[in-house]
Amino acid sequence: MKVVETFGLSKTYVQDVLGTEYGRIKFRLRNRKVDALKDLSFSVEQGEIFGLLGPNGAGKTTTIKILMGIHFASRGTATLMGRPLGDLEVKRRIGFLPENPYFYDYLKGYEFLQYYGQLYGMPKRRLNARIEELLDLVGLSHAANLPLKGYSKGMNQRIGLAQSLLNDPQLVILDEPQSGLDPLGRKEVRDIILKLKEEGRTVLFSSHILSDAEMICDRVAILFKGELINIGRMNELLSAKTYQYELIVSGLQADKMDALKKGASKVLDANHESMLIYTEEAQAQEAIRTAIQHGGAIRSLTPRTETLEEYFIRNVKKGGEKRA
Amino acid sequence: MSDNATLPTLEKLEVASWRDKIFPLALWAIILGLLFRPLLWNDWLQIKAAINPAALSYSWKLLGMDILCVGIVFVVLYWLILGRIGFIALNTFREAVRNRILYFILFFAIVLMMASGVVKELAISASTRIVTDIGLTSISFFGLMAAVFAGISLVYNELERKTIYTIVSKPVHRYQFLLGKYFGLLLTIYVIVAIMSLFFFLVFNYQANTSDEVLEKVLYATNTSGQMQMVDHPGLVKAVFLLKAVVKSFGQSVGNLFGFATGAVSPNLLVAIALIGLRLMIVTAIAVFFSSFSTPALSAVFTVMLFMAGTLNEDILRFGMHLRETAIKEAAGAAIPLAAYIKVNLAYLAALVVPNLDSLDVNSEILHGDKVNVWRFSVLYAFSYTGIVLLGAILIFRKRNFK
Repeated sequence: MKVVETFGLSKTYVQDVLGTEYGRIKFRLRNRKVDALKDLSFSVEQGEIFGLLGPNGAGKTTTIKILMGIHFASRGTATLMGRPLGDLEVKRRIGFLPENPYFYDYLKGYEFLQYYGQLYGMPKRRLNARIEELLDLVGLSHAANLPLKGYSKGMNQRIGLAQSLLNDPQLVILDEPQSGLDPLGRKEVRDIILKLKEEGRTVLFSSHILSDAEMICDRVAILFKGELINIGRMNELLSAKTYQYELIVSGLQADKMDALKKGASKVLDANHESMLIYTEEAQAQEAIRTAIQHGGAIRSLTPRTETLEEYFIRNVKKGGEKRA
Repeated sequence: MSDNATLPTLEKLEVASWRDKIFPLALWAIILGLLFRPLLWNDWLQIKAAINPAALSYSWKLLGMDILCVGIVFVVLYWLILGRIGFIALNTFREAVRNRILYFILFFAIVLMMASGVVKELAISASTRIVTDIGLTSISFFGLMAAVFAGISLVYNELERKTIYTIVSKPVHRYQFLLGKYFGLLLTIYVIVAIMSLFFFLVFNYQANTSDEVLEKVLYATNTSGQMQMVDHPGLVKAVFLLKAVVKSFGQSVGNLFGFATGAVSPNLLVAIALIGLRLMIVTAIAVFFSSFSTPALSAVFTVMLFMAGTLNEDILRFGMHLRETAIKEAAGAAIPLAAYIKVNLAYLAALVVPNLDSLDVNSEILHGDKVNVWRFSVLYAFSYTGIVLLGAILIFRKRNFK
């Protein structure tokens, strides 16, 4: 079953003189138009982790806002769980964490989760049990009775994650869940997302931190300036072929090094070590032999496959040039 | 829609029972029911008072009517709160309670009312009038301040801080959010009005309980030879009496607060305060309306301006009538020129659009001791005007992209 499906989703922001946008009511004076999203179609299958990737201003957040009913699409439609957007029965089964979440600072952590649980119409006893469970999951049990005013950015992100899971959702939509977190926090969020998948939930999340996405996504959609550049499985998008070998050697004379450098596509010299990059396996093997013959030491040899980051830079650059 | 048939059916989820909703409902019903009680039973109380003043005391019949009154409010609210409105309202109330600025408003109002007890010493006569005047004026003024301030900031905060994002993603309709905010604000403002009224009644009852005539009776006793004589230890007697008077006045004031015309407070005064409640209901709706699409500064200006225009509503109407008469006179039998015709109708239109707060103001009648007549149509008008303004806010809010 397709949990999320969009059909030619487009969004044009029209800013009026007051700098606000009221949907249908627009002041036509000195309007400024911004195409935030152009004809986006994709679908998310049940049980997968789907990443919406792209640099800032790519349209990731706009897509999520339209799916959550915060903004309305200018053209195109979308469905969640096979139902049109705005269906309350669907919203009961969805969890959402906005970007850089900020919550009621006059509430305590526990009260906040209680309030949101009430909005789901959850019975009190089940709600309280669920809150304990979630505070434990996101590691905020110690801060449950502290006001949100005193929460750090990371704690806000965690309590936001907790509120998105209150209703035991089948689909979790997370907008930049890892922004503002330290490396440890990022790993914890990653683990939570993987756990959600294990429990059979579908996760749709956006990120510009590609290394985080690379590790957990089943499929990704890459957006740039409001357009879909590519979509597919991670291993389909990235070529599995090793495209370069990185050799690090040390203890060689300068004149001996020149022989090694001949076949290398790139050379980086550090204090006593040199990193040589070869594009062919044979060249790398030849270089190792030469280095050992001349009494050098091999520190490491690393075959490299393409990372999402490199793919991204390559494609976005191409896309940018095409448009320029 | 034809494709509805192809939509998958989602299994039923467990939701909260009515027991979880009963507490916010009951709180609402009691506050609203009792606040508007004098308005609903005013005529009845006045007729009863005219026939037999002693019958004004609380009776079982009256209790039955109160239960009925709270019950009606309860049923209306239950219909409203079936969604998520109640929880949003209670959270709004909680936000207001934890917001310190409202305490300043309350503090100034109470200080002013307490001061009215001192100011009346400076007046040559009619001390009750001064207490009534200052009391009613400060309740309406500070109530207006609270309505404008809270009404605008509490809605705007949700939009500005983007908490609306997560609210919208919950199974909550946008109109439920807006109505929840409105009712939460109204609850806050009515609690503030109730606290101010309590202090107003306290000053009022205390004045009556410790008037010169009463004090005289306490401090002077008639001796066996029929002469007035001061009691022993007059200072102590007076102090004890005043202390008792405070406790008695407080008891009476609490009774007044729940709509009972005990002590020196007449049903008319209770009606005046209930009408302030109605006026604030309109003003809060206007504040919510503007803040549903405008910036806080503009909303505040618009709301206050509409409030001021509203208190002059009947003058606008009179101005229109004056224009019409002048135009007819100047035309001298010929057709009225188009410019004058437009002018007259613009004035009438303004009087129609601007809320008619004039008809909900009986303060001057009370001050002049005139008979208070609340036109039932005005009460109906207050509710329908509020409804229309809220409907407008919902229509704008429904299709709005949140920043």
